[in-house]
Amino acid sequence: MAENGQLLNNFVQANEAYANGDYHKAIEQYQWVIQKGYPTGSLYFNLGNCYYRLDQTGWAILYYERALRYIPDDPDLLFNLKHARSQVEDQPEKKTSIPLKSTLNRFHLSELFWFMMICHVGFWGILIVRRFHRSEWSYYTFVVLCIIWAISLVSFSVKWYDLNYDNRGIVVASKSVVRAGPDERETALFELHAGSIVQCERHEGDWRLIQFASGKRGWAKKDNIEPVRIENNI
Amino acid sequence: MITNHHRILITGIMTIFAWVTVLNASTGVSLHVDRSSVTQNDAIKMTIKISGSQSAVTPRVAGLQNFRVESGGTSSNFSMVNGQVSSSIDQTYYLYPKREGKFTIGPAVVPLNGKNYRSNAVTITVSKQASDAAQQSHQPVFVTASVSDTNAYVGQTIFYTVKFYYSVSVRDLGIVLPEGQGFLLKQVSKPSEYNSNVKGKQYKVIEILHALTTEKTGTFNIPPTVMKMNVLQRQQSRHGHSLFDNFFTSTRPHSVQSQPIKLTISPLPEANQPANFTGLVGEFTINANLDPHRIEAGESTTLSLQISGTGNVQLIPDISVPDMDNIKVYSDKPEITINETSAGFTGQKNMKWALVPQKEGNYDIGPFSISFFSTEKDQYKTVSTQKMNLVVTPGKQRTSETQIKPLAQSLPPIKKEVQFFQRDILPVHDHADALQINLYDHLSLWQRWIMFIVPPFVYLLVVVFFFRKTRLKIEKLNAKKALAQFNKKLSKCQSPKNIDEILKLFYQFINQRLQRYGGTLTPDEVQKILISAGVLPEIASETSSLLNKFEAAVYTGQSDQDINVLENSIRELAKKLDKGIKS
Repeated sequence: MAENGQLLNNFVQANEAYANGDYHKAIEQYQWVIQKGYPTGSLYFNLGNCYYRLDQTGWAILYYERALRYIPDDPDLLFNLKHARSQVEDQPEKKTSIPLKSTLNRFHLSELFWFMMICHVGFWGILIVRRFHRSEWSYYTFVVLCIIWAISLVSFSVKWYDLNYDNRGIVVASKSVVRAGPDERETALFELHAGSIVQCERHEGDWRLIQFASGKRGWAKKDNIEPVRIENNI
Repeated sequence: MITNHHRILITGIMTIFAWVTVLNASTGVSLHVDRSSVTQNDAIKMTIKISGSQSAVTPRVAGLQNFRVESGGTSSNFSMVNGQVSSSIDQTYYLYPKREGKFTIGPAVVPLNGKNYRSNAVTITVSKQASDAAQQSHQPVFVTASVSDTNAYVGQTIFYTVKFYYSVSVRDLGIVLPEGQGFLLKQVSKPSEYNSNVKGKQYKVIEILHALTTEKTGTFNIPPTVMKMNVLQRQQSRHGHSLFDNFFTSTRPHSVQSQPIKLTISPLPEANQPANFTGLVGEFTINANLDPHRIEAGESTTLSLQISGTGNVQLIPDISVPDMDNIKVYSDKPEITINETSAGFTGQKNMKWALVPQKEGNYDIGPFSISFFSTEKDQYKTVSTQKMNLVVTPGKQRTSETQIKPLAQSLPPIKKEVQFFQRDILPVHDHADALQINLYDHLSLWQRWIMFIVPPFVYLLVVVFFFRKTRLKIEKLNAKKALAQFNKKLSKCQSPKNIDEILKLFYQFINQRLQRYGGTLTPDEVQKILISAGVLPEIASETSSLLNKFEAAVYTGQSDQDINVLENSIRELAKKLDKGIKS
């Protein structure tokens, strides 16, 4: 891992390159900072901006989606992502949003973790208190903390699962033909354009089995689709 | 003897009379008829209401020479609502027209308290009886249908009147109105009921008025109206007339229908049609008002326009105020009210504008006009308002916004949606915090697990510690209770007491007091344990010798001492031991 000073130096250089319109250099520098340091939401956001300026909407959306993991409530990110999504050619399938899930999406995993930890300590704490002092107030406090503790535990678990089992992929190529099988000679079923979000299932060789919408599934070139989750080994 | 209760009663009655006296101040006479348009054979119910009087008087009514008059009785009303007392007498008369024509009845003159009170007058139109009514007069029930005008113009309000005549008892009445393409019927008022004489036979009549609207021209055949009912029939007794004949009635379903009607709807004439004609057919008036007429520049004045009339009032147009130099015009939302009456659709449309002159001077406002087709005169008419003059004097320099505020508050605010000129992304995050990661990301997976496990682990420790502490506490308490329990058990033993039983209880006491678990001890072991528990050696020795005595007695079955003496001595010993054993 590089020193903080060096990371900051490269970050400043990347910003300058971006300001000067040298987006390739900016991407290079931002990538370096991510590899040598820690990935942050802002770094992914900046990478998304660079790719957007290079007219690579697919890559831009990919990095904005990655940034969402770290800064899900950042207004700049939400604005840019919405704008980038509006430029995608393919009409996404409309999904019914679950109110609780959409609320969870506004919180960062760390926020939910610390909230859960506070509730966790409070819950076990009140249990200890009740070992020595069984009063009415301690009973009601216990009931309230028990409910909040359960909610926090479930919220954190759902968020953690969403992030760690996110199998979404973004079409980064300007156009990707989806075929009936993992071979160039297979029948072309449909084509997707840069920025479309697909669900990745498995891969065979250079091909990836994807599902765009219900009933629209097939094999696409692996290079054409990048998984949102970096640790994704699919 | 007058009691207090009587006094209160008399006072109350006098108070009521005082109120009645006050009523004289609101004395008045009004004349009302149930219908203004009848046929020659219909009866008209005329009611003369004399307010503020409790005594019946005979009114003199003008214009009754064309009617045969029958008295319908008198009713008096007295009401007290929220302390407001009112009384009136209603005198009812039935009028039977002698001839057809248009007659004015009233005013009714009533002499009261030395003064003559005059009522309003009403106009009644008596027309010839419908021919189909006369034709069907031999029937006990029949129905007639008529239209107010068989040759009408498109847009003109036509009335379709259904009259149901019956001279026998009927129930469960139902009406099936004609349906056809090109016209629509809508009931416009409540059905009215009255008596009518058709060819010397008395009938009760139910009259239902409908508005007939049509948007097409041409000749329409309106199908008959069908009335369905159950006619009550009296069942004759086999044995001639019986006292119970009236109770034995049955119903018979019956239906009657009117004659079809031919209706001709003509298009409005194109000749002389005014340029501003919008399709209004009927009779309309227009009024305008400017208040105030004289204002300072920058102030506002209100221009009101009112169009009212009878006919297709729903088509009354929105009048627009033409642009005027140096006057800003702010329009209010027009309001329209439509009433369905027996005279047709009447209505009124009110329009308002706030005029804000920017410069002083004399300004001409109006005239405003509307055009309609008059069904009375069968020609187009244009009605206009007078030209109004607005005098604007030089005023203080004010912004027009402050002047229009009162009107603007009453108007819904017009908001404009903010539109993007162009679309683009927001810039990169270039602040130093962009490289900061939060504490959660700093933590490794096992650190997070430890953080998660620590609280329940701490709880587990507390529980284990607390449990042990509690157990010790309980044992200590039990030890303290050992002597009491020993004495209690010993007392409970049935006499004659058994030495073996006493010995067993004593060993239990020793074990409980010393908080030990185990089998039966020998006297020597007891001595050692007692010494180790802090008991004085002599007491321990005494205990050992006493136990030996007891055991000898148990095993040999003989004792040199009385059992009661042994019991007392062992009680004393237990007492000493309880004190001697250190906690």
